[in-house]
Amino acid sequence: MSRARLGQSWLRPAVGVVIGLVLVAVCGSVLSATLLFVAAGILVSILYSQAVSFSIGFGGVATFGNQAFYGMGGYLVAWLSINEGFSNTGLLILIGIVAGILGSSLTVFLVRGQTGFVFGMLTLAIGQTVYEFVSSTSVAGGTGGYAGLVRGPILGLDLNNASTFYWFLAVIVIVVTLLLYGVRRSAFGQVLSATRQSALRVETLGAPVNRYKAVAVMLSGGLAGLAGALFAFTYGAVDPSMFYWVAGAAPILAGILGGMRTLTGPIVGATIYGGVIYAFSLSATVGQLYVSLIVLAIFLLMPDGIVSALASGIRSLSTRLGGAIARSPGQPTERKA
Amino acid sequence: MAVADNLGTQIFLPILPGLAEGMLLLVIAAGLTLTFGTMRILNMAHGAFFMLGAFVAYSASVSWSQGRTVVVPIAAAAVLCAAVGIVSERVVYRRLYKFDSLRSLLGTFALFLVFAAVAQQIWGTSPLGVNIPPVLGGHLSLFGVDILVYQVFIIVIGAAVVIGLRLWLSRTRMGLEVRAIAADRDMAAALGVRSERVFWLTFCVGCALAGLAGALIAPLVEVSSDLGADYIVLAFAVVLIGGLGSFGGAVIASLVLGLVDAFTATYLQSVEPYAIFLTMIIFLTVRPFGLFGSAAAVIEI
Repeated sequence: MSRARLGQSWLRPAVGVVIGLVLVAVCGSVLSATLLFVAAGILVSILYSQAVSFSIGFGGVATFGNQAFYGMGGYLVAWLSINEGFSNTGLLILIGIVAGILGSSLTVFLVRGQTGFVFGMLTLAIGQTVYEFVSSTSVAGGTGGYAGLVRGPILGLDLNNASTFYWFLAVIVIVVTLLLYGVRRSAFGQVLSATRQSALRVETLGAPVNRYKAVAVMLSGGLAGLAGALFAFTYGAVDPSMFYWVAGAAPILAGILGGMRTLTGPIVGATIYGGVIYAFSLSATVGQLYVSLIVLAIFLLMPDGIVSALASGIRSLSTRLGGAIARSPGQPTERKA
Repeated sequence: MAVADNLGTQIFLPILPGLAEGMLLLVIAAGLTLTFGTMRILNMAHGAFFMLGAFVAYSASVSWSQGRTVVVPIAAAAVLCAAVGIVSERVVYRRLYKFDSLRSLLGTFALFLVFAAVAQQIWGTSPLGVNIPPVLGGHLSLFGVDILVYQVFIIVIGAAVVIGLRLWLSRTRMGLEVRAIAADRDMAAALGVRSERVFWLTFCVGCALAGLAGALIAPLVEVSSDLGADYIVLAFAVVLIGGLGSFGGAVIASLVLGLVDAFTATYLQSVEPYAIFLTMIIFLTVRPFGLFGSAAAVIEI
């Protein structure tokens, strides 16, 4: 095809990537130091939402315990840095990821053999057990948590510079997005997606469904640990609310907003979510009210999220403009798990 | 406070508070089971209706009855929650029926957060205290153990709710329709059961029960917008341990969990925060379908 149309399968992602990168670059160069700090917080929540959306949205595994891995990543980094004097940022981030993977592996081991809602509620119960433990023991800082984390340099970059730190996080988000893109396209991702659509059929074909789900939860746990570690670096402090299940629902809601099953949905969703909260930051409770109303409204109007609604909108528009051939074969419409 | 000086007294000490807490859990979980049984929606927002009930009871006891009557806060909470429930069924839940269960769960969670945020706007973020109605404020001495009259009151109300629900489901035409829908929605509809009417009516009853439970617990805790989040997890623990959709299972599970919590609160305080979660994890590992659940009732999400 010589003429590129908006409905073409490669063009739409390409447009999305360009818009995203331009937005990242513009924010990085235009925003003041204060707003860069806000943007850094949003980048962290994007990572967190990507982690949660991968297991729940793409993998169809109802895990409601990701906040435990997020909190573990953050707490371990804060504790090692403040009490043990670790200053190697790269190593600390790696430790956060490993903590998330180990935590999620242990969870998967504890709830092995369970499916569906029972699986979800058990992961939630394990998360709440961890929360109760962290908020009551003095080893973990009790209800106050830890404060006073200092950002050490990484690869010669001074992360205390707001702009450098923003770019550092932006690069991590881009790398993670590419990684997720690869995983979704891989044989593993294809089987996982098939598992979400019909676990029974995949099992009949001979694939170890539970093992696929376990790996999805572990990958998601590792990413949550990464997000937690970066949260600690961003705010310099951690507290038990990182482990609380309602706080752990924010990335899920952000995922719903953008579209949990899509690659870019969590990015769009977490940006809007964080943006609304910031726009009403004079009163935190008002921001919470508006953001939850927006999530509910979007959920009822576009159950697949903004990104999916936009994509299908563009698709139908281009069908109307460009005749019958515009629907690309690589985009089957999926409505139901 | 009587000193627990012999073994019998020591064992008896936590039983009544445990039963009271179990009854409270039961009233919450009963509504949850009811809406799940008919609408097949795992209703996270049930916790929000519970929280709303506690706030309404606070307002009613402060402004209306000057904390004197027993009935007004409870009735106000139940009626208002039922009314809000009817509206949300029309606006939100009706759109969720067509979704798979994970999505409808997430939708009800979004609604949960809307209610929590609205409650913060109306009643503020600092925890509120509600007084026990003076009539029920006294103490009783039973087998040498000092107990609150209010705890006995909760147990009586809880038992009345259980018996009432039981009779409603087994003796009335409406209850028959509810059971028919729970057993096989399509077949019931084909036989002429008006499922939409059953849906909103059972939902209304479920919300009223949540409000009632919220009003009952209000004098015992600090009322804040976090209240729903804590109790909805416990209510789901009851429902899962009892077996999804099993009313009898929920009765046993809630009483057991209430007793577990009260015993650990009295004798093993370091374990108390985890007691219910650990019970749930261990029990569901051994019996994934709960006490009286079956594999058929397990929902894939």
